[in-house]
Amino acid sequence: MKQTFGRRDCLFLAVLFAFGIVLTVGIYCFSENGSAITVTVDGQLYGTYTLSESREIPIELDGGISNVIVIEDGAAYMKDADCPDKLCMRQGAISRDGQTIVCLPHKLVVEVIGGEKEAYDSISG
Amino acid sequence: MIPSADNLSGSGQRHRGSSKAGKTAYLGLCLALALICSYVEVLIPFPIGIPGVKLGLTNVVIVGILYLSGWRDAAMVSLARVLLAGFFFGNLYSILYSLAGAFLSLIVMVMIKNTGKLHLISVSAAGGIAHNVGQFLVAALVVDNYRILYYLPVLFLVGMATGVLIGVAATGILKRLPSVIRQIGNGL
Repeated sequence: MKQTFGRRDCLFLAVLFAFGIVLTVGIYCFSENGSAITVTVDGQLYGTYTLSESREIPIELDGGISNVIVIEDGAAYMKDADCPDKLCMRQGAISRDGQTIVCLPHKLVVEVIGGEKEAYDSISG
Repeated sequence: MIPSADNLSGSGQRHRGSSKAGKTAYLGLCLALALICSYVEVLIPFPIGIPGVKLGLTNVVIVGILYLSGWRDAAMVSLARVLLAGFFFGNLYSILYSLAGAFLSLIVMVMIKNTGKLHLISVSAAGGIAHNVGQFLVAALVVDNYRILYYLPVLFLVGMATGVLIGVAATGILKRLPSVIRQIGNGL
């Protein structure tokens, strides 16, 4: 291990980095502001809520309230969760089409969708 | 010609003898190190809040083993580490994610290392990316929702950044490891 970093490494890392940037830009360009969120639990649809009106959505699982989602100013975030790691609460507010908040302990996914109509299409499809 | 210190004392030979006890001790030491790294990592909160994003401190040990004594030892220690750390600090699901991440990462690192054209830092960077991607694919399967792949670019870049950091650390450690330990690794 005389040399620890060479020109090839530099090139390799640059290519990887460029690929990551392209991936990021690509996904953000294709995303638009969503109009509603869907909540799924273990792959099953729990509910669809529009982002245009502010409200608080308690999620009831196994007889208790496991998570509380809040919609405010066209964005949704996880206000409360009874899981130990609270990762879902740290994921911030989501408003763009395709963005998600994931709570793995409850297998719960909150996802922004383009509109309510589109949501039903994707469910039937 | 003046014989080197190694030839005089024969210590090089002795360490290279592949005794089972020596190998067990070496792998045990590595496993202990990896577990400690897992534990320390649990203590460091990563402020991004995406499941699966971690510093990947354990990879210092895994990359180190990979370079000291090959992929078989690295795979063994990695498997034992994931299972034990899962039972100590996690749950069944975290074991699943870790397994997917650890093994995809190890496979990618071995492939890149075997090309012989890139150094440890590149190997580690690719491993970091593969680790995050592997973990996230399993997470997508578990929650049954492929749209969470939205986070993939972030995970890709974070994995690369942590991979480079880990690679720099591992390079420094391997350089400074006393030659005796390196011989034990090489000889077994």
